[in-house]
Amino acid sequence: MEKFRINIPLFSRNRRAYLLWLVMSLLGSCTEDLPDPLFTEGMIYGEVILNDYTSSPEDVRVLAMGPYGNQSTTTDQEGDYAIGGLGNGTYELEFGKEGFGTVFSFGIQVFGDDTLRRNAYLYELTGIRKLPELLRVYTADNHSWIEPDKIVIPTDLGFSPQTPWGMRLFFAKHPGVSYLDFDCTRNGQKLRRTGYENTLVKADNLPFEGGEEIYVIAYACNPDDMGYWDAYRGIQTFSTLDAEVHSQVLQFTMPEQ
Amino acid sequence: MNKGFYPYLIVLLLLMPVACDTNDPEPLTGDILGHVTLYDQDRYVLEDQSDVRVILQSEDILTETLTLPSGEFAFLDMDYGNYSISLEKEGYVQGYGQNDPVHHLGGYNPTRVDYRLYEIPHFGLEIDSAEIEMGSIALWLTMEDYNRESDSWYFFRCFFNGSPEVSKEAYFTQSQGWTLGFWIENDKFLTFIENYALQDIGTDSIYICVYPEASGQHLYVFDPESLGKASNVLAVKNPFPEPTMR
Repeated sequence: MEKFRINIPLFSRNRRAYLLWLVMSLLGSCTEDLPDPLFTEGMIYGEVILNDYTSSPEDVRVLAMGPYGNQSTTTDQEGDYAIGGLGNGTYELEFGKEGFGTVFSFGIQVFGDDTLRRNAYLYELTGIRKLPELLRVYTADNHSWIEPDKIVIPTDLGFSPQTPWGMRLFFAKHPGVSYLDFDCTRNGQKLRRTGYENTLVKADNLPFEGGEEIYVIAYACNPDDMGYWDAYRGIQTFSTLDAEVHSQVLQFTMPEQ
Repeated sequence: MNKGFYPYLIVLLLLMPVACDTNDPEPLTGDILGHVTLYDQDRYVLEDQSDVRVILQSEDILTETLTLPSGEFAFLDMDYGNYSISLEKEGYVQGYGQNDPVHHLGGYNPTRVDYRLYEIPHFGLEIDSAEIEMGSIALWLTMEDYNRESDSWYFFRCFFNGSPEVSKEAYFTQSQGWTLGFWIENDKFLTFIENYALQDIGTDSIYICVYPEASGQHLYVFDPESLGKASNVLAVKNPFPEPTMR
């Protein structure tokens, strides 16, 4: 039986020429120009607030990334910004300032002459190099003073009111808990970078059942940082969290309610 | 030239060096000015800082004065030299390290000194429970009669002994502790202190007693006068029944 074969002259005569044509075509398809918007009357504006209340909110970089390319501006003395001339489409904003965590705002849909307001809170980076060690987990099973939905963790932090530190706790029901894979997160209560020192880390209202094995890890993070929703990752994200500076993972059993 | 002029000229020349000597002699006396700040047990500064007895003493002099409501006091025209200054007020103690001699140089610039007095605490402490692991002691303490609005430190002195007779007068070893940063909830604190001498007690139980301590005291050296009322005595199982070999 004769094999079915397509007989294209170029195929058979000059295979190299064909491959070259194929590669060029593929490259050509990758360098597609961005489309031009039909309307450019949309606008995103808002205010950037710095959480330390002492730095000037001026000169915060605001970058709008959308279907027609990127547009950027900086905030004025009051922290206000506006990016106009936007075409229809979905945009994301990036807010950045040196010394502060970079914050994103996702899924901003502009249509026609929409004028949309998006404010952003920027939190100061802590600059922490090493987290205090978490020593052990106290629960209601260890001491009658602790409520069943609370934990208390002493740390090895020494006395230094000026020690810059703060941490965020992440909880999960598996030992691979991290800031990217967690069931719930809590701020270490009353931790502050200056002035008020707390050598206990506490968390409450933990949404776990009695008897469940829980794992907890702490990361360096501005204690005021409430985070923002990262639509791409589908998790609450903290702009000042330092993924490199974290504690060991501690395990405990959730007390019966 | 008239001969009568020469005596005047000689007198004038003799007076000139005296008139040119503008350096006044250095005075040998001067003022010692001071200020005392009174703190209550919650580390708030008292409005009235008067009636602190300030005693100034040297080899030759013993004198005293009282502070004004502003906390100021003065010893005027005191000879230059070294002095010691001690402060007395009922219910208050000095902070550690404030008894250094005063080097009074005299002169136009007064010698200035600054002191702090701390209230002997009257807040109450009770030991709920304790755990000893190696050299670390976890103490669960309840507090009463203190200012809950204050963010200040509350110090205590913890005494350990191998017998139930444990107090500031009878103890094997002691440590300073504090409550700042160890807040569990209202009036309840979990605090940690370190004391590796516990390994040498050698009894089956270790008996613990705590006293509120005035601020400004040394970490290792305590002044019995700076302590308030003793807590209950708690017995804890000794994790090191055999004394360590040294």
